[in-house]
Amino acid sequence: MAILNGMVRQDMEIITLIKANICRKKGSFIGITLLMVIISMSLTAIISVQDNCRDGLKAAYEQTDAADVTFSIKKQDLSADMLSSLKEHPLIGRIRVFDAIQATEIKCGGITEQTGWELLKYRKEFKIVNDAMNAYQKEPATALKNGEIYITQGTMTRMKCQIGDSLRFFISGREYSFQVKGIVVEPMFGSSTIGWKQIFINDEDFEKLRADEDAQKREGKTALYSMVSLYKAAGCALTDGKFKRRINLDTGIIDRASVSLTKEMSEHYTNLFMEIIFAILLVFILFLFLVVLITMAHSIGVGIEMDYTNIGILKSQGFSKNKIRAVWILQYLLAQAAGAFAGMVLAIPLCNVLGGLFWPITGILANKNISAAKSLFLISVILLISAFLILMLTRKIARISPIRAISGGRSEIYFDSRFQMPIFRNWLSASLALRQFTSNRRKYVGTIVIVSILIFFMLTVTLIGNVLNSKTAIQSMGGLYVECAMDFTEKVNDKQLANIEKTIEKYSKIKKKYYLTRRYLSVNGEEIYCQIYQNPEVVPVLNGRAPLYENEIVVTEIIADELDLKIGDKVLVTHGDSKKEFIVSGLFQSINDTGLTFVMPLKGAKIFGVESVDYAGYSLDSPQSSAKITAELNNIYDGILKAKSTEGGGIMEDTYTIAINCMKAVIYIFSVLFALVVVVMVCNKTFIQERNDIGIYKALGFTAVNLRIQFAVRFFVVALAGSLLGSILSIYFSGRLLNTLLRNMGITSFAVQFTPITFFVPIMSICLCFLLFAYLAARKVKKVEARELVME
Amino acid sequence: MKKTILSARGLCKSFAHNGGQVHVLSNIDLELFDGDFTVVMGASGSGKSTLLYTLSGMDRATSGQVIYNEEDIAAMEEKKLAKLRRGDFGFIFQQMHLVSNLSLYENIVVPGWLNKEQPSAQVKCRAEELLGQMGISHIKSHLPSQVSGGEQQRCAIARSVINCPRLLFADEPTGALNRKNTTEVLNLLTHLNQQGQSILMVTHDIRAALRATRLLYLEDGKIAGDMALPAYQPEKERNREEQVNAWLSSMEW
Ligand SMILES: Nc1ncnc2c1ncn2[C@@H]1O[C@H](COP(=O)(O)OP(=O)(O)OP(=O)(O)O)[C@@H](O)[C@H]1O
Ligand SMILES: [Mg+2]
Repeated sequence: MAILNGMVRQDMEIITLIKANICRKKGSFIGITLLMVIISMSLTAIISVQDNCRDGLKAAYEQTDAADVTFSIKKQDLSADMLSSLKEHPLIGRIRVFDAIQATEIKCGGITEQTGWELLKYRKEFKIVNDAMNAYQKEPATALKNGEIYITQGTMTRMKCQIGDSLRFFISGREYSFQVKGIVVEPMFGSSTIGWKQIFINDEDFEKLRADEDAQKREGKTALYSMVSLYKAAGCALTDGKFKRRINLDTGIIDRASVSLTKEMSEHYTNLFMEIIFAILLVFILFLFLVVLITMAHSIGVGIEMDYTNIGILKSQGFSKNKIRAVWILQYLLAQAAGAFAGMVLAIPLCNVLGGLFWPITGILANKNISAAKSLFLISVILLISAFLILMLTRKIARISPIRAISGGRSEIYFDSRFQMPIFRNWLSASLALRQFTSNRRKYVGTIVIVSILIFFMLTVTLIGNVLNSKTAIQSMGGLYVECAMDFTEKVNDKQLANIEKTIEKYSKIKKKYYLTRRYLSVNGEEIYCQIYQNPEVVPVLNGRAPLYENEIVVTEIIADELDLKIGDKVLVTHGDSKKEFIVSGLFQSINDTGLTFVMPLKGAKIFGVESVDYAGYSLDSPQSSAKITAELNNIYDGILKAKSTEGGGIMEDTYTIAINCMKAVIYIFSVLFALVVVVMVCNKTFIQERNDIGIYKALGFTAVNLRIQFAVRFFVVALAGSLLGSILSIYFSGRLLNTLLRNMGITSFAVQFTPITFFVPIMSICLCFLLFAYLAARKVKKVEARELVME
Repeated sequence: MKKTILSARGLCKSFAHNGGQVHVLSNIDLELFDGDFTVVMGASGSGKSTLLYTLSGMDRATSGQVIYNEEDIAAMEEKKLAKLRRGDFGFIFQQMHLVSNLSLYENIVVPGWLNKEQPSAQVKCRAEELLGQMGISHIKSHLPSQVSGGEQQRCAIARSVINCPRLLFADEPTGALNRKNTTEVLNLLTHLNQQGQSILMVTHDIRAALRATRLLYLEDGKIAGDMALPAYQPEKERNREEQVNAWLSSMEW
C-alpha cells in the first residue's frame, strides 16, 4: 500500500504503478517477453532468409545474363534458317547460342547419373565461390587448366563429390575424366532440384572433345549440342511460359529440343524447397502467436482475479477505471514490445546460420540482410492484435466495484457440487486433483488448447518425416521408390522383360514394377512432362481410374486445375506433327516436375513415335538382394540395359532429408521451448491461485510430496487432454494442411501415416515437460511452512 | 498428577522484517497437560497465534524445543510432521480455511480418509455423528461458500476432530461468530473437553475464556500469567466470570 499513499502527482502514478506491477509479477512478464522473443526472432529470420534467397537468385540471374528461355538442341537440328527465323521473331529481342557437348552418363564414386549433362566453355560471367562457400572469390580466378572443371553446388550435391574429386564423363561411348577445380554459381540449371546440369571446361579441352566427336562419325547420333538463350523483346509482356509456347507454336523449335527451361520455372524449382519449408514454419509461427495470445489471456485473467483487492483499493482511492486499464495494457504491451525488439536483434545471427541452409540445394549465394521494414510491419501487426486482445480482456477491471473487491475478494466463484465426481478414499489424491481440475475447468481450457496446437504441429512435421522414410507412402503419392532400376539402351520386347523378371524373382519377389519412358508432349498446347507406362495399372490414382485404354490419360490435380480439366474431358496431345485426342480417365499425383505431369499408356504413345519403354523399376520384397540382382542383370544383359541398385535410396535426396529434419528440429525445439515457458507461467500462476487450498491440505496432514505430485499429475493430465485434442486435430487436418502447403511440390493428397511412435514421442515430450515443471513450480509446498501457505 | 502431553523449552520465534528481526516469542517454557482445556489470552500482537502455530508444527521455531511424545517437533522432518498433523493434532483456524471446492461432508471425511489407521466405515460413521453434533447434517452436501460463517466454523471443528486428535489447537474459533453461534461452538468444545479431549485455544472473548480449565496470559512474547480453574459448570458461570475478570485485570488486560 505504500505505493498508493505516495501517489499524489497525477502523471507519475501510471509509471509508478507499472513499475510496481512488473516487479511484483516478474514471472509472467518474463514469460511473455520470452515467447515474443521466439516469435519475433523466427519471424524476422524466416522473412529475411526468404527475401535473401529470392534476391540472391535474382542477382545471380542478372549477373549471368540468364535468358528468359534456355533450351538445348542437337547442333545439326539448329539450321541457319531456323536460327534466322528465331532472330526475326518479333517477340524475341536477343539470342545467344553456345556450343555444348552432351555427356550421356557421369560417374563419381558409386554415383551414376544419366540425365543430361552439358559441357560448355567456361565464361567469366559465372563467378567462382570461395572456400567457405559463403561469397564469391575476391581475387580473379586462375584460368582452368586442361582436365579441370567448374561445376555448380547442385551438381556437387547430386554427385556427392568434393573439390579435387574426379568426375568421369561418358561422351558417345568415350570416357573422359575431369577434376573439380571449383564451384561456380550458375542459377539457371544450378539447383539440385533441376536435373539438367552445365559443366564448364576450358577452351582447349572443349576443342579436343569436339575433335574427338567429329572423328567418330556415327549415323544420326551426335554429342554436339547448342545451348540457346532466348531473351524477350523489350515490349513483350508475356510470361516466360507463354513466351516459350508462342515461340514453339511459331517455330516448333522447342519440340525438337532435348530440354528447355524458362527463367520462371528455374526460379520455381530453385527456391521450391525453401518456400515450402518456410511456408510450414510461417504457419507454425502464426499458431505460436495464437499460443502467446492464449497464454496472455490466461495471465491477465488470473492476474485480475488475484489483484481484485488491489484494484478495488485503487478505485476507492480515486483512480479511474481507464487509468487502471491503461496500466494493465501498457505493462503487457511493454513486455511484448521488449520481446519483439530483442527477437529482431537475435534474428541477425540466426539469419546468418539459416542463410546457408539452402546452399546445397539452390547453389545460390544468399545475402545476409535483415528485412527490417517487412518484419517491423508484421511485428507491429502482432502488437496491434495483442493490444486489442488486452483491451478486451481488461474490460473486467471496469466492473470491479471497490467494496465488493475489498470485502468479497476472490471467493466469488460458485460451482455446483452435484456435477462433481465424488471423492474416493482409495483414490484420494487422484480424486482431489480431479476436483481441483473440474472446479477450475475454464482456467485449464487455455492450457489444453495451447498443448493441442503444439502437438498438432509436432505431429504434422513428424508425418512429413514418416513419409520420407516410408516406401509405401512415397509410392502411394506417385513416387517411384524402387530398389532395383534399369535403363534400357536398346529396344526391349515383352519377352525380354519377362525374362528379366524371372531373373529377379530368383532372388526376391517383386512387389511393384514400373515400365516407362518419359517425353515432353503438348497437352492443349501446353508442353507437359509425360510419363508413358507400359503397365499403367500401377499408377496410383486419386480419382477415376488408371489409363488402361490407348486413348486415356490421367493428369495431376494441378494440371486439371491449370488446364481446367475434369475426368471425362477430351484433350488434344501433340508432338511435332503428330496429334491425338485423349480422354482424362482419372487424377493422380506426382512430384515429378512439381506435379506438372500426366500419364499415358505406351499403346497410346505409339503415334508420337514411342515404341518401347526405356526404364524399368522394381520394388522388391527383400531389398537387400538388389545388389546381387543388378550384378547378374548387368552381366546377362550387357549392352541391352544398365541396372543399378538403389537400395535404401529413395527419390528424396539427402539434402531434402536434412532440410526437412532441420524443420522438424525447429518445430520440435520451439514447441518444447514454448511448452516450457507456458508451463512455467501457467503452473506458477495456478500454484499461486491454489496455494491456499494446498496449504490447507498440508495443514490437514498431506505430505508435501503427495501434494506436489497431485499438482504435477493434474498438469500431466491437462497436457494429455491437450495432446488428445491435438492428435484428433492432426488426424483430421494435418493432411489437409500439408496438401495446401506441399501443392507447389506436386503433392495434392498427402499420404498420412500415423504410427504409435508418431504420437508417442511428441506427446510424451510435452506431457513430461508439464509433469516436471508443475512439480518444480510447486516446490514451495515443501519449503514453506503450512502457516505461510494458508496466510497470504 | 496430570500427564504432560506437550511441552516447550526455551521456545523463541522471530520474523525477519524490513531487514531487522521482530522477536515475537522469547524463551517460552510451557507444559500442556492431558485433558486440559487451556486458553491463551493476551493483547493483540502479543504472539498468541504465533505460539499456537509453533507448538502445533504449522510453523518452525527459531530456536528451542517443542517436545511431543519425547520427540522435538521443532526439528522434525516433513514427513513425520505430516503424520502428526493427520493423526495426533487437530487445528481450527481463525479464518476456517475449508477447501472451497469440497462439500462440508467431504471437508470432514477427507482428513479422516487420509489417516490410514481408521477404517472407511468408521470415518463415515464418525463424520455423520459429528455433522449431527454440530447441527449441520442438513447442509452437508453444500459447498463452504453456500453456508454461513457459523456453519463453516462448526464444519471446521468437526474436521479438526475427525481423527480423534490427542491435542486440539484452536485459534479464535469464535472470533468471526455472533453471540448465538459463539455459545454453540463453545458448548461443543466444552463437550469435547469433558469427553477427555485436550484443547489449546486462543481467544479474545471472555466468554470463551470461562470454559478453560487453565488460563495462560501472553505478554510481549512471554507467559505472564498461568491459572488453573475447576471444570466448567454452566450454573456456576457468574462466579467464574468474576474470578477470571479479576485475574485478567491483574494482568492489565
Ligand atoms: N510473517 C510475519 N512477519 C513479520 N512479523 C510477523 C509475522 N507474523 C506475525 N508477525 C508479528 O508477530 C506479532 C505477533 O503476531 P500474532 O499473529 O502471533 O499476534 P496475536 O497475538 O495472534 O494477535 P491477534 O490477537 O491480533 O491475532 C505481531 O506483532 C506481528 O506483527
Ligand atoms: Mg492471532
